[in-house]
Amino acid sequence: MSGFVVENGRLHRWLRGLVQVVAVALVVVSPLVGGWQRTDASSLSAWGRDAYDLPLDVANALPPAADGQAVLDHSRVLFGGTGVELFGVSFVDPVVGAASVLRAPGDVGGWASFLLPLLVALLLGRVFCGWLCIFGVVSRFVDGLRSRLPLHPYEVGEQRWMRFVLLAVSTVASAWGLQHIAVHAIAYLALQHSIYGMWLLGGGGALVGWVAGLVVAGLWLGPNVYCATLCPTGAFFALMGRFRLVRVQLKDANACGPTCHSCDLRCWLSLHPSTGDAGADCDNCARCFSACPKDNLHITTGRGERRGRPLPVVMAMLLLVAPSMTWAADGNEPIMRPRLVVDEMRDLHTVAGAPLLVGVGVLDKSQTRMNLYSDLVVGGSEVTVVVGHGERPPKDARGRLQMRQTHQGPLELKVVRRGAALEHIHFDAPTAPKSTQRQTLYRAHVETVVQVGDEVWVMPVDSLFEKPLVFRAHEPRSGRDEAWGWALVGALLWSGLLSFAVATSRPPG
Amino acid sequence: MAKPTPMRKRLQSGWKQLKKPVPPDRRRFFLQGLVFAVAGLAFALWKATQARVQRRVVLGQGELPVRPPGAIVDDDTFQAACIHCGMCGMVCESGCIRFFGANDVEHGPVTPYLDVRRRSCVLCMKCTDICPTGALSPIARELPVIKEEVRMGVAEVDPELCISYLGRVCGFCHDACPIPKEALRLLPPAYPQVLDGCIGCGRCAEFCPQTPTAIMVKRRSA
Repeated sequence: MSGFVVENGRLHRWLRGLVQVVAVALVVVSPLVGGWQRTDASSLSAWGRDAYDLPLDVANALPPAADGQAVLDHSRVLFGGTGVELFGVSFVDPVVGAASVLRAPGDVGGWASFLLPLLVALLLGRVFCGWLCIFGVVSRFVDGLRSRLPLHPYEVGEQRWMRFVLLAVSTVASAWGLQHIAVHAIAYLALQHSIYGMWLLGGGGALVGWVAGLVVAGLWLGPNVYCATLCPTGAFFALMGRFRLVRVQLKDANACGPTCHSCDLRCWLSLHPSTGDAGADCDNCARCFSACPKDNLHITTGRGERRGRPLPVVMAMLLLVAPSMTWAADGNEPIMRPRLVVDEMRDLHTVAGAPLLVGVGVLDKSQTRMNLYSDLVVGGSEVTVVVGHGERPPKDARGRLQMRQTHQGPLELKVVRRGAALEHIHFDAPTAPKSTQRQTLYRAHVETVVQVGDEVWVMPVDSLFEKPLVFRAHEPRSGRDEAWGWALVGALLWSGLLSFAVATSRPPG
Repeated sequence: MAKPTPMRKRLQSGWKQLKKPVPPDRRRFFLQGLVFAVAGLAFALWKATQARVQRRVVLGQGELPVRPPGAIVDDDTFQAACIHCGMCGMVCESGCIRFFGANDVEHGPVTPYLDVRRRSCVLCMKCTDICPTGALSPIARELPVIKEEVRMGVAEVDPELCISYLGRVCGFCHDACPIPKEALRLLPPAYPQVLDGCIGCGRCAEFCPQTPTAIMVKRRSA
């Protein structure tokens, strides 16, 4: 056996660190680079400034991007998380790839993208985990944190069957059309989706909470226990890794001290390179090299590996900067146009089965200027209500739609914040549009600025509806509240699963 | 007299002792796993009863969301085919593709939908190319093909709200429409009329100046 030998792992470790930094940076930044230009893509539209995806100063500071393709181009280093096209061939996560193949067995592209990572794993084993996985970087960071806390590390046995159960469950569930189980079970996908969700989709709260829960569970049970005992992708690569070509091996087993197991202690996946074979889970990270007092380990076409140092700077960026910018983005955008906070048409089939439509629109004009050059701010909010009922008559001969009956009598509105009514609005009759023959809208200007979470109550109208109808002011990025609850759910469930996994792992043999 | 061990040394050795990996007590771990899993499940179930899914798009009872172009028409089949990879939203040029939350079970967690009032589809058709499972089938980026193949939804006008119907001349929806005369035309004086060619891109809804919007894209009924 020949040619390929890595003797001193130093260059190897530096290279891996570099790849990890680039991978994490690109995952964090790529949605920004590709997606920032969406922030004002429709500035011509009536409500173009309604929903900034980013704070304006952040958007302005970013370089121009050609199109959304740039997101893809920049995330190629991670194979785009779940899947990406590279040189015309698509790569996907093997577990998601299995799902893809199961869902669409006739698709040649799906098979190719499923088999390619598999071939890489056959050659190099779990190399993805140590070199590219962003959750791997997070867990290394948490590991560094935990090593400074007075907590015992737990020995995890080398036989860890729980992950194969999870792999089987997520694959089988995918075949049944429950693919989100796979996305939730694979931490790096959940992490990447939540970063992407925060930047571009305005939310990702539940997913952020879920990943945060895993990090919390990792902090007290051991950060790498998830990677070692539960990760379905890791389990898949480990299955392939049994047969791999490139391995970490002892140079000379007899040269080791009789009780020395420094390399075992350094292994982030709780493997045992000191036995001469680090096992199928080794990811060629070469951490054990640096622990060996006799420099007695090498990578050759035979056996074992390891992975990254904590990357505090990158991780601080990931864990602090990205969420905090999302936090900061809330409600702080300079708005020159009215912001639409309620825009909802509700269909109530209450009047003897006949349609009853109640629509409410609320414009936040708190920062709206009279024109582009004016500093004068309009302020307040505009509340619009329409109540239509009955069936719509058929179109006339010219194809014009006919109006429903609209409520024309008195109407009461309330603006409610946290249970307390801020504004009572009374209409005797519809007020808008002015200067037209037919008025259908109840429209009023109120001084209260309707904020996200406030409610507009349309009070009961005799003979139409009996209970007040509640319309909630929504926000472009929701899900912040969700994150906390789901962080607790995640922490509890992950702690439970990790405890089971530790309890069920066994030493080899 | 023996020299007492300095405090620092003692602390260090204590720390080393503490940091030695210990074999896990299986019984304890199994029990605590049980406790955590049960507590987590109970809390998750309680949260599910409290579920207050916030989304921008307001969907009526049983109403289906507008999916990206080329999506499988039957929504259950679409949800089964979608693997929640998020690639369609990633390549989307206008950012109109959004995703249901991870806790939005009703419409499929992390499945794509269009919020056209916020941002409409620019018909770049990149999502159809990238989809790995055929949940979105590929469509060429040529207007004749798009006109033929894309049927995301159909615009609906509310004459009770439409400014033109109420007595003024507006026509914003017509000016915004990418395929005027085939998808939307104005009847004099300026009444918008949606035609069979409507593909559901939602430009009209995005540009409608009325609140609540007088024109909105709804999923085509079967």
